[in-house]
Amino acid sequence: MLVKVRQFLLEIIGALLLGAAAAWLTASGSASWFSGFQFQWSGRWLDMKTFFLSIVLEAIPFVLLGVFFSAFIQTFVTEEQVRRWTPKNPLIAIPFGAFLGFLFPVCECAIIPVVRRLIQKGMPLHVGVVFLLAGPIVNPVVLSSTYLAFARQPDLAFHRGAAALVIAVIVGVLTLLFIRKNPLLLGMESQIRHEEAHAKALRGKLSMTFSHAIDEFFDMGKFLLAGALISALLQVYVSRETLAEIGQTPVTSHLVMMGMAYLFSLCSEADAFIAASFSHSFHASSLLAFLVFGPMLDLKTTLMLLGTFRFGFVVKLVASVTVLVLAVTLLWPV
Amino acid sequence: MNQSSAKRHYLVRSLILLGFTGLLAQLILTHRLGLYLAPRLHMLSYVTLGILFMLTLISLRQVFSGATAYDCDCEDAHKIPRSLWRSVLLYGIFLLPLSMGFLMPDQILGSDVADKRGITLLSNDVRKLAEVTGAANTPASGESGTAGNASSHVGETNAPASPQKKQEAAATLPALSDAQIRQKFSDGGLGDFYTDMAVSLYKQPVISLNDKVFLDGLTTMELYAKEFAGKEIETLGFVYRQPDFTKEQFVVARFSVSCCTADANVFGILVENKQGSKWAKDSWVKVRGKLEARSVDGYDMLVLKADGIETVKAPKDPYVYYNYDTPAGN
Repeated sequence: MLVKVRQFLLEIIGALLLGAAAAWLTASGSASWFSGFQFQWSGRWLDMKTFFLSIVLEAIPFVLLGVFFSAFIQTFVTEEQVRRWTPKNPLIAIPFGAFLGFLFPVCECAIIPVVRRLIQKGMPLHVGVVFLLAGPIVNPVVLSSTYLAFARQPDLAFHRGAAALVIAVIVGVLTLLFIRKNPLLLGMESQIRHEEAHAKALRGKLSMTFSHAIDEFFDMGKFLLAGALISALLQVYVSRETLAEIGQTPVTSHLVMMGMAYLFSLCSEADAFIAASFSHSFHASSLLAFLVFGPMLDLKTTLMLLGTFRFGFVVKLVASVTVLVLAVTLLWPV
Repeated sequence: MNQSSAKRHYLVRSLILLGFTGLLAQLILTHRLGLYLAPRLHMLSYVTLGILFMLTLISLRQVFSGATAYDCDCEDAHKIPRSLWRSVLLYGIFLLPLSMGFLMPDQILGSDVADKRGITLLSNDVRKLAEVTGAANTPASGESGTAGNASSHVGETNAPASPQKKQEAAATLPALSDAQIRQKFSDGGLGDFYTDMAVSLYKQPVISLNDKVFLDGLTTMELYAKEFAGKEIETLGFVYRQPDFTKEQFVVARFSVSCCTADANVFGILVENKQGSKWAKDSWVKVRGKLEARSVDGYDMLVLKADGIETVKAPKDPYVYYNYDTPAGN
């Protein structure tokens, strides 16, 4: 069942998008479609375009960065090296993964191709997962932007980093204990072998790196674009106040903030500024939930994860991260 | 999979990459990138343009020499969609931003988005806005005195406080030396940045809240609301109204962008002017007037009593940015 859903996920999303596009064309067509030779667009659609293009233009450099970084690892880092650098003992390896973000300060769009490559190269899954979750938060760029955004509550940056570390480490331990099967997508194995064949045949050729970059650009790009489109639509049609009104009790306000973080799909370098704009209507611990959850999981990264890992694994990851972020931020002393 | 089908896919991909390169180049050359990205990401976009250009060239090369570049028996791994339906979906979603970028006109974010976002006023508290406008109605339309309704303490602090503040500010202003002004703003432990900012703003006879200092200046005045009451300022923004505003009120607002417009926030100052309803929503205005303090629930809030409002053209760069490292740039 799950496998089937996963198989058709792309089709389902695509059909929805095409349907939406068709509805849009007909709807705007019935209004004054031509006036002279000028198209008349409704203001909301123009706003939607602004958001959509803006997210895409912002994310493309970071996705390319991730793609090239992953191509760099592919070409220059051997499996032997990855295995040697990663500590054997999980007690050291999991914190090691959590602080890897300080070495590679990548945001949440860029980290998925990188983690995928590192896992393919032999990094243990639990370390990869810890890096995946903690990396986009526990790094100097994101923490300093949080510090700037919350000029009046500077300790929130510290809480953000610490809570993210705790959650990432717990998920890492859970992964170590409960995930036995290789979570990478079917066919990923043959792809690795395939890429290695190319790497051997064409080692040192720049064009090979670029060819793979094009493949990955289209591979990751489709998920990124779908996520950006949905997020742009929500930004135009859903008002923040409506969401804020739902969140009155601690649990619902945390859930609302996490939901917003998920749907808006902001870059982890910028989301602190949004969180700061909510500081008048939400308690600091709900803001913390927003700040921790968004970089770990959001709409576009979920789609990107689904393009990398098995459906079942992504479901488990999403479920455990959601529950943990909710529990930890509710209990966290802010 | 046969060779010609693979080549067709490479051709479509090349065209899409070419489209992205063209779109980005067009945005940069026509100076419209600022409508989508904050300046600090522009450099990154230039680099991206270069990389996209190279990717386009390499992808085009694959079209002509696909067989030699990928001479292997592992076509499945190249992620070329297997059916026509999948191809349409895959390339459709890449064509969407391109067609939108080329065909749809640009629009500056305005009141519709501000409605969805909620606006941050000089009070730093949106929920208080309704109370302020409610309280302001009484003294503005009728004679000042007691507001005499539910929010009585608002009305009571409101009217007497502001003239007093004005006089105080006007009287002490010329006598203060730099050091004294500095002293005025150094308490509160809000850091050197805001102190520097406050001093540099306070020294101006008419505070010019221009694009460069809009956000930081607004934050500073909000932190030191008491001290800035009675000062004269001049600023520029688009007209934004909420349903609960009186006819004399509107907000002169700006969107702040920290990375891309998806993270845009609205900031503004509540303006009051007898002819306030004359200016259409989303039109750009230059406003000049005196700040007046209102106190709502213990918050000091500044309202701009405008005496000069003029319509202006929307600035080339409509958004404002935080600018932490140059406090006294103006």
